[in-house]
Amino acid sequence: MSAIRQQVPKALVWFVPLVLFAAPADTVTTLAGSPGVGGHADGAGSAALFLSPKAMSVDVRGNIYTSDNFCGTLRKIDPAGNVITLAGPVSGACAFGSVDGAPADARFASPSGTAVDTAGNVYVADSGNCTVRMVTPGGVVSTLAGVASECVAIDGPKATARFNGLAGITVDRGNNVYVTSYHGCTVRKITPAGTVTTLVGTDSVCATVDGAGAAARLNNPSGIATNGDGNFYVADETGCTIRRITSDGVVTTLAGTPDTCGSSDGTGAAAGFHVPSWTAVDVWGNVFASDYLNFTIRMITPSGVVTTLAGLAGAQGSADGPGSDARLNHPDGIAVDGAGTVYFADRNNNTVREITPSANVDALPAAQVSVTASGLAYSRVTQTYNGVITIRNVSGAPVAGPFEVALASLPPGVSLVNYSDWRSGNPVILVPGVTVLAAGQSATVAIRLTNSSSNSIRFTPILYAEPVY
Amino acid sequence: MPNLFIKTIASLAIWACCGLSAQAGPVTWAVTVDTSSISGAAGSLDLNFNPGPLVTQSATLQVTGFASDGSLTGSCACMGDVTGQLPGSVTFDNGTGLNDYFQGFTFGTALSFNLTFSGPALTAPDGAFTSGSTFAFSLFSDSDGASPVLTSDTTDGFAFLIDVNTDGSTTPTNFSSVTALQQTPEPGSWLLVTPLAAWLLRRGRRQSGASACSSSR
Repeated sequence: MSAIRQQVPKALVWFVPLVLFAAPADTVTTLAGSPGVGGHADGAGSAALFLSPKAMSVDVRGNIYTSDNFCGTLRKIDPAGNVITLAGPVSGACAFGSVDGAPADARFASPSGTAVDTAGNVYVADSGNCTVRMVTPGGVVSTLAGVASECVAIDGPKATARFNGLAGITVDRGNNVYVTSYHGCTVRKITPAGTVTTLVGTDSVCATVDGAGAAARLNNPSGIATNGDGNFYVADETGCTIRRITSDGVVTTLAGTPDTCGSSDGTGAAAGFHVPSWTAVDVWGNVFASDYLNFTIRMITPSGVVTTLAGLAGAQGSADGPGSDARLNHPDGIAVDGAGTVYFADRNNNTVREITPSANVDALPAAQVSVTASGLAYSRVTQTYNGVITIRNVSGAPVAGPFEVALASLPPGVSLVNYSDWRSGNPVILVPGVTVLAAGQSATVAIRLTNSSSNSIRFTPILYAEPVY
Repeated sequence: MPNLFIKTIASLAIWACCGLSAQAGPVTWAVTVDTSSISGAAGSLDLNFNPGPLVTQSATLQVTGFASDGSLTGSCACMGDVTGQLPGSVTFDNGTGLNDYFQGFTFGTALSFNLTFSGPALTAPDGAFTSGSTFAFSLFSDSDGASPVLTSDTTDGFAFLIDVNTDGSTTPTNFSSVTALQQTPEPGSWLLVTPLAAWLLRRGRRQSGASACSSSR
């Protein structure tokens, strides 16, 4: 659990223990699916059925995507919990194969990781086919890289590149796709043109060794996530660690003791995991990991402090509720949206569940922190409109951050180039270098916008502080 | 009579000084650019003055006194609320999102001009407005405005920016070591005037008091 972040006036100091005692913890609820009931049915909430949901990703508008591993489908869940089959056999059927094309005609074989870009294209690590598939927002499927059933690790251009042991997948701002090879113990990169290179590890040489590029060792890497900060976070299943990989392939161990599994919370190597299977990372740099055999969801701060967010180690089941009251059953794929809501595939429960933060979900009021902006200077060189957003604490007390500003109601054609994340369909940008705003203190963040329309650039700023779990 | 003169001067000075800080007004910046390092090169100039993305108070910018031993080429490619043509006066209004003046220019050894910001955003800044406006100036070594020169801002190519803030003040950001920006009159000059005015006023009062005393005798 993170510390209580809101500053408390001294006069209220005696009430703090009561506040802490009464403060709601992060809460687990079941968004879709029926616990313990496997199947393939589209519908709303518990009417929908899944068959071993494996991966999890969330798009800029809060739609969730999961691969139904035992049914060969890609499912989409809207924020209200309505479930559809985006690609693969229609509701009620399960089928496998390797077929590109229209949504209902497409076939996957044991689809594993999913990732979604800002345009809404979903990338699927089709582990049974050893291919990387791409699914348009309309559900049309194509093969981005690899050839079905040719399971071997070969780097090179699209025509000759091959994959083995595909598990996790993520996509960066440049639409480069990164996949983990569970059995190959590597992370590989696929450019938009389809050229494949190995970023980390050496094929089929599995161990836990920090280092750079081919010298680094991973131990059955599964989930991989990135938040646009240039780093990747990998769940190293057999190594029982969470690894951090820079964009140029330098690997460090963020948390966990290599090859020593456990369940303890703590910092860095003092923390234990038991087959961490999947990762997600939020805009603040917090990593969320599904701890598959501990039946828990863990959170790792950027400095490596590990806490248990939901579930109780060793206690499997299916129960909604706050923090350790919740029960999970082999949690697998995991994702986090811009509001800090964590989604995970509770695989053996056949459900999709969510964890909502306990505080700082709502926008900060203007009476507490004001938001103003400079004019927008137009650069002919970059063809961007550049300005500065200033936030200022206009209350009489410190306000805890860090902070992000969402640009709501941007006109069509206007885009924020240097966004940090998305929140409810709006781009957000982090305010750098400030964790607490003292009374009267200001902080600024530069914004860069493009405008492909004749609309004036206008938006409504919404200020948020980092969610607290 | 001398007392009246001194009091008048002192009062005017204090009024002017206090008036500057308590009540905003039009602001003028004098701009001088040493272009000797690229003298003779054909390029272009870009000036734009735009509102912010939130609620912006009305402001106007007038470019006057453009002088250079270089030469303007062609005519301006103007967008938005821009009227006039250099070397004559050019007026920008911040009523539309992009107000841009772009023109070819063969550089001489120097160029200079004045920027006068006016309008409600400067004369009657209102706290209800949440965006300022910004002026940007760039010099290019090509006619397309793609290769900025005489600036350390290699990303965006701005030579300098001047922000009109929501409180009516202006803030320059200069990326060019060969560009001089000077607010006229300089705010600092009033700091010199203030003690002088106070001294003059005190002296006037002392003399006036002495005069009153003598008349009461």
